[in-house]
Amino acid sequence: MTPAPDLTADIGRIKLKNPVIAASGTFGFGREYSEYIDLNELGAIAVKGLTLDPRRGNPPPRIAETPAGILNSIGLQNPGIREFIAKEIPFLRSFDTAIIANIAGNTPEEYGLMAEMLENEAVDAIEVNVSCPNIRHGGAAFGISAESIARVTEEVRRKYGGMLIVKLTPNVTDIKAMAMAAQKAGADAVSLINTILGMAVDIETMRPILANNYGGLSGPAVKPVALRMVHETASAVDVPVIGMGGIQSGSDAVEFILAGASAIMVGTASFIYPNACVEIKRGIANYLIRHGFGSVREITGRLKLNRPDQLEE
Amino acid sequence: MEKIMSVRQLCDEITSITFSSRYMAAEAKPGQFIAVKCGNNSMDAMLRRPVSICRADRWSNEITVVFQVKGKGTKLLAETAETGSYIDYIGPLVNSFKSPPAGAKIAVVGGGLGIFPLLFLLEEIRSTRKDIKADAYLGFRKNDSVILREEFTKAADNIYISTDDGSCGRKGFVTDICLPVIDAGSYDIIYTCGPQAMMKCVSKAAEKSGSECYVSLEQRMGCGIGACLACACRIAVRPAEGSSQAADGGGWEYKHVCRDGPVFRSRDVVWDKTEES
Ligand SMILES: Cc1cc2nc3c(=O)[nH]c(=O)nc-3n(C[C@H](O)[C@H](O)[C@H](O)COP(=O)(O)OP(=O)(O)OC[C@H]3O[C@@H](n4cnc5c(N)ncnc54)[C@H](O)[C@@H]3O)c2cc1C
Ligand SMILES: Cc1cc2nc3c(=O)[nH]c(=O)nc-3n(C[C@H](O)[C@H](O)[C@H](O)COP(=O)(O)O)c2cc1C
Ligand code: FES
Repeated sequence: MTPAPDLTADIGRIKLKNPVIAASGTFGFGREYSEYIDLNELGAIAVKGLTLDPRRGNPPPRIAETPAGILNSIGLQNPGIREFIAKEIPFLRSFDTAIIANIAGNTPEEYGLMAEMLENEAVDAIEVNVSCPNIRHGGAAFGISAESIARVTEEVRRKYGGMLIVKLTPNVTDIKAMAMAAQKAGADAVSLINTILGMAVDIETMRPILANNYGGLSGPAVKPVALRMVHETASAVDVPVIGMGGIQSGSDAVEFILAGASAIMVGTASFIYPNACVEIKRGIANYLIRHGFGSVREITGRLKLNRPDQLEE
Repeated sequence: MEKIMSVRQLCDEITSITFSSRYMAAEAKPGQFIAVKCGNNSMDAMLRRPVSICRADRWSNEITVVFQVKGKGTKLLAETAETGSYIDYIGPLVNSFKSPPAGAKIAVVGGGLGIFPLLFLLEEIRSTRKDIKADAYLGFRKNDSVILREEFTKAADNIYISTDDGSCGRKGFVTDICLPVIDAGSYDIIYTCGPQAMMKCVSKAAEKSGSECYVSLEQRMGCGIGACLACACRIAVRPAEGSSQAADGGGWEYKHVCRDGPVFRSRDVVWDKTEES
């Protein structure tokens, strides 16, 4: 009998017991899913995006279904980082899985302050969500310029000695430049993609379905875009890449890993099948067994690109 | 996943699915819903759809849900559900109608799709509580869309029907029939489910007459289990437990239909200013 494949995933400063991570904003604080799945099965849980102070979020409707995807505009509703530290970390620590604190700020200093608050807490990593508007610079997201990504990353790096992931937004022209800026400023890994800005219209009322008009697209519809961006990024940076966007099955996950991802995150799929993460983990293991690979590491970035120029000779 | 025992067309576009579940029959409470997957692995209606539990037979373990074909998901569900196939759902979710105190006189006020959880409530009360007097007020569009009439008649002491066009019962809105009775302070508790405008109207009247009132809210959902925070509704923040102040004007917060509801005390609901009815 062949031994079970090694599913551990190196994502920089820390090693996960398997490469499947529940994506931020889709898994609450883990608590919500604990009735439906065994949280010990997960490589890590990225918790709902945290802000310095509690946030109410956007008015409903906050979600709209679109072909093979969903649009959301939750508006970062969360109880604030202090409540997370007091109530959610102790709960999550009772499981054998890594905790990733996803943080969002209005200014680079706010990101820094939150990082400082987490420095001595029992979290395994910080994931910096740069998709939020920079209120000091006209409200454009931090994540759309290499310069502001660097500012935020540096600020967090100064205050936090642990594993630092920068989560990139796909709403940019050159994702490689953003990833390189994060790496240079001290990120241990980058994760992508966050949601793609989109819109859905109700033709009867002649209004957008979302109260907030625009929202972020996720789900299978974004997978091809996400995969291309993960590949581009993994080819451009040396730090590990965590891939996500529309992963619904083990084979979707393997596509991302082949394209260069060291670990993957699962978001929307958990809404439909609460145990999606566990199924995806099994799917990855089965693929490795079927192809005789011993570890996830062996297939990370193993994708061989076609050479269209040579094919024509 | 449970096996479907029967599928019935109640009227144009309204389908009833009965499935067998020992767990649900033991656990389900009136007011709760389930989140149903429509079609297998469909990319077009990916998210689960919330549908109320309409009947639960504790002895035969049969659970019934009734739904109207509205868009892609419910259309797919109506097309694919058949006797012997399986229904994929999460539930029962999550809170339920508060059961009435001994000897209470209650009313249920339902409009359109809102009548389904109210039937479960009435049938449950009928089979377990001889001390309760219950009236049902039901609003439909037209005679052809009047459904479950027999069931309601059996489960309630009195049933009053209205249709928009007067083709069955009283012409007009269901509130035209029930408001005068509510205003007269006839009921200890009122349970309502249906269009926002109707529930708001009933709530205001109930609060004025000093009746307790429970509403079942609707909102678009992502996960159905409290994780994505999509299904937000505005709920008053009360300064102190047990305070009896009205919910208007004061502070509110977003609660979630799938986690804190779908049933709320009417005086805690902060209704939308703009009404689409
Ligand atoms: C707690 C609760 C209980 C419900 N009980 C019943 C019931 O017993 N019988 C019944 O027929 N209907 C019920 N509904 C309404 C039902 O969920 C919607 O009609 C259904 O989701 C529409 O899906 P669709 O695919 O046909 O429409 P589409 O327009 O294709 O749906 C698109 C998206 O919007 C959502 N959506 C659309 N309308 C509603 C709505 N009114 N409420 C919530 N989400 C909506 C869908 O779930 C889906 O995610 C209930 C809703 C809630 C919140
Ligand atoms: C409802 C919802 C809420 C989200 N909230 C956050 C968040 O708070 N912080 C964040 O970094 N990403 C958030 N995301 C983005 C996801 O983590 C993920 O990047 C994206 O959904 C793509 O993955 P998927 O297609 O598997 O869902 C959210 C996504 C959804 C659908
Ligand atoms: S639908 Fe996700 S929180 Fe209610």
